[in-house]
Amino acid sequence: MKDRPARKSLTLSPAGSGPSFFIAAVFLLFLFFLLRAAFLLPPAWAQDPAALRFDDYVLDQAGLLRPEEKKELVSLLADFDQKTTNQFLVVILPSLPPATSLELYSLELAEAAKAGRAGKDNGLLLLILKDDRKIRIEVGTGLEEKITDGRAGRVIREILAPAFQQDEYYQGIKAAMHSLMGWVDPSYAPARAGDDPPEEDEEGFPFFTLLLLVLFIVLFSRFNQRRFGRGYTSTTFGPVISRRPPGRSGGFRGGGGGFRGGGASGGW
Amino acid sequence: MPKNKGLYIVLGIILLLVLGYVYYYNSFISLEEEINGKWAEIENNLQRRADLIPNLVATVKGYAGHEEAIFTEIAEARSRLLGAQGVADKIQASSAMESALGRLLAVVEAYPQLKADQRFAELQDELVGTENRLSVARLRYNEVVKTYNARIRRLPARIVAGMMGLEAKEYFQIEETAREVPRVEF
Repeated sequence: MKDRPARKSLTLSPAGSGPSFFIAAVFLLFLFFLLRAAFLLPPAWAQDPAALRFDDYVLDQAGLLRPEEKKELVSLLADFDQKTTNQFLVVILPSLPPATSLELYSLELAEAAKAGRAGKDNGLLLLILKDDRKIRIEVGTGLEEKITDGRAGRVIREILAPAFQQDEYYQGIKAAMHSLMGWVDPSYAPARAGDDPPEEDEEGFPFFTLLLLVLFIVLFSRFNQRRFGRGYTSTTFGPVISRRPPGRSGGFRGGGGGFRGGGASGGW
Repeated sequence: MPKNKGLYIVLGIILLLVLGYVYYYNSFISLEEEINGKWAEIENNLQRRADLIPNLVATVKGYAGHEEAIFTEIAEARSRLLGAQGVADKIQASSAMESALGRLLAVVEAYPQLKADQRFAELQDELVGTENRLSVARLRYNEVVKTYNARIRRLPARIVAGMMGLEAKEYFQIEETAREVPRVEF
């Protein structure tokens, strides 16, 4: 009974300021729905279980590699990135988090790291789970033609697994990376035994120099592109090398490449 | 003066309504486009799987020729998948294919020589990779469908959705049995 007059005065008082109040209310309501729609679209993808920082090409949380081995790998991968824009990462973790699968987790990691360039989708992530003794090679969408699932599986079966069985982790990873790089850019193909016979190497001397030349030209044009085109780093105008902070040879920065589950899994 | 003011208010409200309609209309159109894109990705992978199967079957036949039952089952599932029209039909055919493939890979377990065949190992990688890509595509498709279904049912949008005649889309669900089998242990 008591609050009736009070309510009356409440409805009456804004009526003094008239219809502009009404318009404002409608507008606010409209705005609210607009904003709500925007907030309602969180990609379920984004809540990545791994709060990992991908600031280097090699991430070893299981202590599988010695510091100098890691450095070697990082410089190999950083060099490959700079010369070919393909971003290959190595991630070593102790074990798989609960309630996920190897394939799902490695996809989430690869997406979180944003390996590869946007549009080219030329990233790759080698995930090694030490205690689970599992391996996965996650191949970026743009590399699936060159690194087919079969080839990735072969790298696991024929290079990684045998090496890991003998605790030769560094050698295995390095050989695997060379092999994978070789599928993308033949100039990186290792002179390896067991995969393809390295016959080409014998007669390949002029061929190799030619490749080097081509590589230089490609590099040079890319360099120019990077300076005058829509550069993807904030410091577009410095030379390529000085983009990296001194002291850290790696300094990985994901380019925003996409993945869709290509690659192969295995174990040792 | 007060007459004019009323007119402005009415015009303002109409403008807001029109803007709201356009906003939701466009957002639904782009969501539908996204769903179509994700569905196309699923279809690509279904096609890829169908393309891989003849090779795989041929390789397996070389070692295990007398396992006739599984080969006919695969062939039937494959032709059904290739002939399927529409989302629901394809989903059904796909899960039939999956369980047939699962059985094939289980049969393979009994032939160590086949498992040691490098060609077969690579084909199997391709197949498992395609399965994985398919499940990723499925996940992404379902995610967009979920957003879409939620949005066309929420209130102010629902009116627009009703005017556009939109209906909730079907998820790509898989039967649990089909889901279990194709996992290949190494």
